[in-house]
Amino acid sequence: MANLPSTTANVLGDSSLDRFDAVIIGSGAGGGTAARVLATNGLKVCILEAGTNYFLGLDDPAPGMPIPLFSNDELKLGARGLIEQQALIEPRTFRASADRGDRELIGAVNSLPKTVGGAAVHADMQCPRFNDVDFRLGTELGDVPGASFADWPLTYDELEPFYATMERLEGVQGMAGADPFASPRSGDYPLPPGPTMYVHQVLAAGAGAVGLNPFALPAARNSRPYRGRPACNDCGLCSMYGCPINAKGSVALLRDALLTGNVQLRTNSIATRLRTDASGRRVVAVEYLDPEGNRAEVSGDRYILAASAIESARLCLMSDPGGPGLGNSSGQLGRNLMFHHQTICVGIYQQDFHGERGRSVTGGFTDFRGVPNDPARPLGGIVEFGANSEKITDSLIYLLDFSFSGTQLKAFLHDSPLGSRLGALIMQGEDAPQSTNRVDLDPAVRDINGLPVPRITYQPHAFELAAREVYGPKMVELHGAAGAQFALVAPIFEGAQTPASRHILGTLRMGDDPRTSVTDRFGRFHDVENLYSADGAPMATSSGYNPTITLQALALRTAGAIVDPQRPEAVVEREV
Amino acid sequence: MFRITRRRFLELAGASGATLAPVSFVPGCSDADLDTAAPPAKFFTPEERQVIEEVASAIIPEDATVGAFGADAVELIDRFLAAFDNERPLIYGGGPFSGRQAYPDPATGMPSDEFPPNAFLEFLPLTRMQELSLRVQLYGSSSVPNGDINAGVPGATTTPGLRAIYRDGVASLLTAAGVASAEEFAALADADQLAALGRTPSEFQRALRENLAEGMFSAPEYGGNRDLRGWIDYHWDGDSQPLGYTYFGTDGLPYDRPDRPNQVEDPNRPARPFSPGVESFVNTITLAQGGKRFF
Repeated sequence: MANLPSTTANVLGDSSLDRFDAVIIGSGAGGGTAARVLATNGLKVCILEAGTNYFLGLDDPAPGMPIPLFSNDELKLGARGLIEQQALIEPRTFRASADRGDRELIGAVNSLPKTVGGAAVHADMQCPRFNDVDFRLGTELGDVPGASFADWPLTYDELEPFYATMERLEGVQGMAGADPFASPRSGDYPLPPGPTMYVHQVLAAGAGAVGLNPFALPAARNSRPYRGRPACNDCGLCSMYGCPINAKGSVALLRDALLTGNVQLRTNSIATRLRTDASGRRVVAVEYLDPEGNRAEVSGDRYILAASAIESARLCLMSDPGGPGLGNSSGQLGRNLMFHHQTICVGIYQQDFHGERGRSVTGGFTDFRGVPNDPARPLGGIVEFGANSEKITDSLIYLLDFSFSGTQLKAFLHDSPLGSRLGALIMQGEDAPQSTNRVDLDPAVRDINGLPVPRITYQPHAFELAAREVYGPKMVELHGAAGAQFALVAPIFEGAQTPASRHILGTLRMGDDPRTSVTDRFGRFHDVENLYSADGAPMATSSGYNPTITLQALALRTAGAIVDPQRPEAVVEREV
Repeated sequence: MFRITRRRFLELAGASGATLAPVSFVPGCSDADLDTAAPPAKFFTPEERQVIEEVASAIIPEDATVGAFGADAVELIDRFLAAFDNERPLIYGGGPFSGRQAYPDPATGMPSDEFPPNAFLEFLPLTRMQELSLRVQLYGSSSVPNGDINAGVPGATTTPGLRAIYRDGVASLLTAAGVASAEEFAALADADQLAALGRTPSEFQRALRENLAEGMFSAPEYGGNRDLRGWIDYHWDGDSQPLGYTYFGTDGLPYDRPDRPNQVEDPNRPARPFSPGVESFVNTITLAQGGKRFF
């Protein structure tokens, strides 16, 4: 009988396990998903998580829910960044291109949360699927100079059963048929759409007036009680916040995995190196820093990287000091780093959208996803309807960025033109993969543990800038039709040097040809027989939709193929 | 996911307190709760505190809505700087609920008369990495092993820490104002205090403005936002759990709370024109960015 819940500090699950079929690095959307598949099929799994756990009772089989230590607290989760990577001690570096020198910036660059549940904790869990055409853009687009578009080594039809399973396990709300551009589905969503926010109502009316097709976006947030978790009560602080009542599906699969008794989750454990045997083709251990910062290691029969596209690539590079990186015979490791190119168009309205009520984003449209090779309808992305839910953030614009004081400041605080009166359209545009957009190790900068930090080299391609030029003005017109007094397209990257997107993809590109890709069609490294990737890293292209459900569907399939290479879809939905 | 961040607007810019009427009793956040724990440690000397209070009041003065003084915004800063002087660092409040909102009545979905305890006051322990980061932030990068590991790398910066930034900032503020004491500083007009602030190190100005925003609008368990006036006066609801804004009726379907609608305009927060100064500023940045004014 499993020893649950754990009573050992910094360990969740069965702390007595000491032999593992798999070691997973990262407990987020991909890692938790892979763990569930393996553990429900009887495999013993160790998960290493760099952050700590804020879901009390996550591994407790007694009836009832885990109690999250999250709360509607902007200081804690926002300004003081409870679950965020802290750039003061774990910086990253950035440069737009290699000819700009070693680096242009040291600090926060596109980091994701370090916490049990990973980025699935702070995500507002939008769950649109990619479209069938997104899996063959290499063929559809042909040669795009400077870009490295490629077909995925699998089709939408192959992934569809895994999407459907994922939606059932996590509890995705949505309505089949609501998105006129979506690819065929094998069934409806398990939950109906929940209430839509006021900003959604206003922007959807504007979208309809200019001939677009708004709908309630699918998301992994319970709209009714589902699989032991309550319905969302629209408490407000959602995107970038852990859910205080577990209505978000952030750790639903991870909890299932822990309750099998086949999983041991070690928290505050920072992976530092994958050690291989003499052949270099087999990983034999993961070295990590334990909660006190001491060296430790764990071994298993196979290893699954799920630390995010940047951190997973960094770990491969740190595992081969002075060499090209573990699993890099193709030279592609760390390359084709993609974010979504976000085009943000803000409307300033006389209405007060009270964005602190609701789920951050409840609606949008996909008309701007476009089609390949049509300059009038280029490949952009899904557009979300957003409101500002945060008060400290709103006030800092006037108080700090504009340096207002006295009566002028008071007028802005009172009127909140960029806070409660702002409606936003945000397009998650396709980001053309480029070989030169990459992660490598900074040659000099170290984190506080003495480890080399990831260096991001990135600049946008004309491909996504063209989509921005086409759709930006249309978004301004939508705001006009919705009743905005003012509307403008925010400067690229919000006026900063680095993309703000937290959709981090590529770096361990999947493909059938080991000469041009790092991982195969099941996420396994071509060069390393017992090493897999189960986060955003294998994606060959970014598509134009929020990526979480797709990376989870891939993780299901990767783990399913470990259990049953012939019929992975048959083993991924077992009950605990 | 989507979140409006301040970064989004960085390029858009060309860019004596009144006494307050007490608000009604707020469930779960009475002073009695705070009295059960040891009083939070503070950082400022009385003289420093007075200077910071004065300049904070010049930045966010009192009028019909609460200012930095009335919201006791500086209290949050004073506590944050001394966070490690408490038995447990008072940095991250607990969760999930503050007790300001009731549990929903299971029959109606409306607020019941039962309130959860205030878990915000159960401050969370720090991990090794969190403590390192916060010590660097407060005490400077030389205060922890490897804190200055990148010293000498081009582009790397070190920080003396917020405590030193504030201590030195107050001294430079007095110097810039040409006064010798907090009392003399207090006698200056707001405009003169702000002018002096503008001549202090930029890292001090930045820290002060950033921390004042937190002191105005954070949960009151951190010391500021006294009587929730920051939230009430500036029309922000504050923490809403476990009630939230959607309740489920006896038919199992979701409904808006009548007093705080989610899906429609709130009659208590109706559409209204911007004040002339705000409208003119927004107009300027909109046109400068190639945007459009519709009316």
